[in-house]
Order: sequence, then structure tokens, then C-alpha cells
Amino acid sequence: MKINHLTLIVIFLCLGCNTSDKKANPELNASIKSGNEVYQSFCINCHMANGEGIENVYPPLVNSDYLKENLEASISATKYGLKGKITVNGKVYNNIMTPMGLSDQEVANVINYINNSWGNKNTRLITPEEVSKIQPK
Amino acid sequence: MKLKKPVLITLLIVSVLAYAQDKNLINKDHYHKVIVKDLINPWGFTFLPDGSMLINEKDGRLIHFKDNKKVEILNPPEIYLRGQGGLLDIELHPEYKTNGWIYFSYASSKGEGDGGNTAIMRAKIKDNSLTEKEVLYKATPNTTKGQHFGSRIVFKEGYLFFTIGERGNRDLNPQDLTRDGGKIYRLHDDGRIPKDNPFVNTKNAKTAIWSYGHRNPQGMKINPFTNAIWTHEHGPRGGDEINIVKKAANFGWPVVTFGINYSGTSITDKTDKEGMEQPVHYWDPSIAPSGMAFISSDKYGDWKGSVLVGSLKFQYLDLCTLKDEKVVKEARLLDGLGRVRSVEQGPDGYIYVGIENLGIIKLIRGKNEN
Repeated sequence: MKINHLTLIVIFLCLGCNTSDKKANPELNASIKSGNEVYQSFCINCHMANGEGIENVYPPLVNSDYLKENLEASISATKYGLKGKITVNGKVYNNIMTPMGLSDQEVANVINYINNSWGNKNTRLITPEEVSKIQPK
Repeated sequence: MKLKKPVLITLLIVSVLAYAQDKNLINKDHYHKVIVKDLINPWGFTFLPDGSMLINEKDGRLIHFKDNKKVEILNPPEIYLRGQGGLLDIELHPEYKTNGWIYFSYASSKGEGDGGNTAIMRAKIKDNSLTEKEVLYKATPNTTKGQHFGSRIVFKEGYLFFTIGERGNRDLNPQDLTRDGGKIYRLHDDGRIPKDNPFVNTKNAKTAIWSYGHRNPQGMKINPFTNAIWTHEHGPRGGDEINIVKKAANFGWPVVTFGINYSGTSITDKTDKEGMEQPVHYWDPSIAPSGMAFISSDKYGDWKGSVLVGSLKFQYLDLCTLKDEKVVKEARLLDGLGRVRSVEQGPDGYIYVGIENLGIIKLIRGKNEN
């Protein structure tokens, strides 16, 4: 009986370990998954497969201080486009990103994907409602 | 989402190494004059007989630039503005002076299903507005994918040729003659299918198809020295190509390519296969080519006979020196001015270049004495 008990506890703990990450935020995980599809179709040409961008031309999204410190501006850029100078990780980028024509849901998904990919970690769920309130910068 | 350490390290190394600029040398024997200021994305432009310009802004505006002033032409094609889609190329009918036809390629959501696909329209301008609009072709199905609409238009011997990219569906579209996308098409100037198109007797085929197996051609011109149709296309990573288009030819995508997936994984180990065409040239690293023009005028000395290709990715105009239909040398013009979207040789023999977030500039060889 003791062994059985112990086994149960171990199984229980293991199950807990395995699912804790995903259970924590199924909504976020679903959004990240959809965001990946948006990224592959709309963003990857310039920002590249691992969010590294292109030297001096397109800013990185991976480990980007701009993204971390200007999340609202980043959402705005994804929604409405971006033009002119921005500084990312100490480098000035002066370029244009034309509006992609994404829905608020798609903007939320791709931001959640970018916020949680390639080592980026920001588990706060961005929702379409939040995106809908963001105005052009 | 957690990555194991070795994977992470590999990714980091790859990301540092993989996207360095290419090695083409900067040419300093030229300068430019801004002709049309303040454009966002001059995707396509052309010259009217009076020397004025018609300019397609990708966001859907059609601009007439005359006497240094921009006037918007009303009632432009209704576009599906998403990702790479919008108002794309513009070309005049070879007999524009007598018939007034102007041809457009654009992303359209017309027809069934969510999303959009590439369409071709012809129309005339009357009282500053587009009239007599006729949709000559609309690719199906609509899709919400953001990439690979193509599209460029040329005329050759009275026929209308245009390109449509594979719309982000490489596994279904480019090799299937019954589906649109990843093709170069040929029509009569009024949209009828020519009887001698290569696949008119192929069961269920899209009979407008002229060649197939393309990925995303955003450059197409007639080589004025050989009269052949030259295109270039965005390949995958390391696989952008220049091709000479031939009737019924299969250009191989995605069965053969010099490129790899953006992620660094392999698409195919094949770079050639019997029955599939080889490119005239390929770029590795990819330059993201858009716009194309042959220099056939005498305004540029020994650059005559070269072909110019815009680079979106590295923001320059690639001067490709040709010998026996091969690129033997490349040089970087207009380095760092911006994403080069469209290139035309004007009626005055000068090269005009549409650059995103800047406008249309005129390329001049030599030193700027002013």
C-alpha cells in the first residue's frame, strides 16, 4: 500500500510538472500559436526567422530594448505601420514599415508570439480589446 | 517553447552569421536627383506620352505627376490592402496614344472566400478619373496569406504578360497547372486567352498560364537586345533568381532551388532536375529583388546592356553587368537610399528609380558638380 501511495504521489507530481506551464495560460499559448502563422506570412521577410532583423536596415525583435520598453508603440507599429527614426539596442533605424492590414486579433496574436519567442519572455496576454484601443503614434 | 541550450546557442550563432550584407562593391561614379518627392511605396510607375508620370502607391492611390505637381486620379482599382498586397504594377498599352488603355495589377478580394488574390485590370483616364474599368484576370482562390502576390506586367508582340506569386502556398500552387499562383500568364490585350497558349488543351488547366514553377516574381522586362522576357523572383533564403521566361517551361519551385527555408532548414537538396529550367543568376545572400530595367540608352556609357535590379533587403540598386546572358559582375548603386521598389528607363533614356519612403529619383552617371 505504501508503495502504491508513493507511486500515486509521484505520478501526480509528474503530471503537475508537465502541465503547469501550459495550464498556466492556455489562452496565451493559443494566441502564440496563431501568432506564429501571422509572423511566417507577414514579418519574416524583414525581421527574419529568429527575430534578428537585418543589420542596419530592419531592427531586431529578439532581445530588443525597444520592444520591452515601448510595447504600446510596438503594437501601434504592427497595427498602423511605422515611419522614421527609432533606436533599438543603441542603433538608429530610419526606415518605413507600411501597414500590414492585420485585424486586432492578428496583431494581438503576433505580438504575443514575438513577446514569447527566441528567448523573449513576456507572458502578459495582449488581447484584441487592448489592441483596439491603441491609436496611431 | 523552452529551448535546450545547444539549440539556443546554434540559433544565436546562425543569427549572427547568416544575415550579413552581401559583398557587392559600392560604385561611386553616379549621383541622383529626386524627381518626385514624398512617396511611401511607389510600387509601379510609367511615363505618359507627354512625359508626365503615372505612379501606383501600394496603399491604393494612383498619382499623376505633371509639372512638378501630384494629382490623385479618382476611382482607382479597389484593392485588398494586406501584407505584400495592394496596388501593384502599372503599364501602358503599346498603342496607348490611339486607344488610351492603362493596365494595372493589384490585390483584389473579389469573388468567393475571405482574403484576396492578384488581379489584372485595364481602364482609361477621363476627367482625372478611371473609366471603362475591365477586370481581365482574377486569380483564385482568395486567401488571407500576406505574401507573394507578384506582380509585374509587360507587353510583347501585342500580348499581355503578367506574373502572380504563389500566395504563400508553395506545396499546392506553383507545380499545379490547374491552380493559380507561381505562374507567368499570357493574354490578349483584351483578356482573351490566346489559342496558342501552351496549356489550352491540358485538362482543367488555367489556360492563361505561359510558364510555371515560380515563387514570387516582382521584376519583369523585355530584354531589348534579345527580345526575350526576363524576370527575377524572390526565392527562399539564398535563392533569389533571374530567369529568361520560355513558353511552357517549369522553373522548378519548390522542387529545385538554390535557397533554404528562412529558418535555415532545407527545402530540397536539388538545384537542378531534368525538365526544369536553370536560372540565369541567383543571389546568395538573397537581396529581395523588386523592379528591373535594362539600360539600352546612351546616357550611361559602358553600362549600356546591363540590367538593373532593386534590392529591398539591402537597400540599393544592383548594376548587373551581362555577358552572354550571364551576370558577370555586380555593383551597388544608390547605396542605402532606401528600399528600391521599382526601376524604369524613361523616354529620355535616363533611369528612374522608385524608392520607399523617399520618392522617384533620376540616376545620373558621373560626379555631381553642383
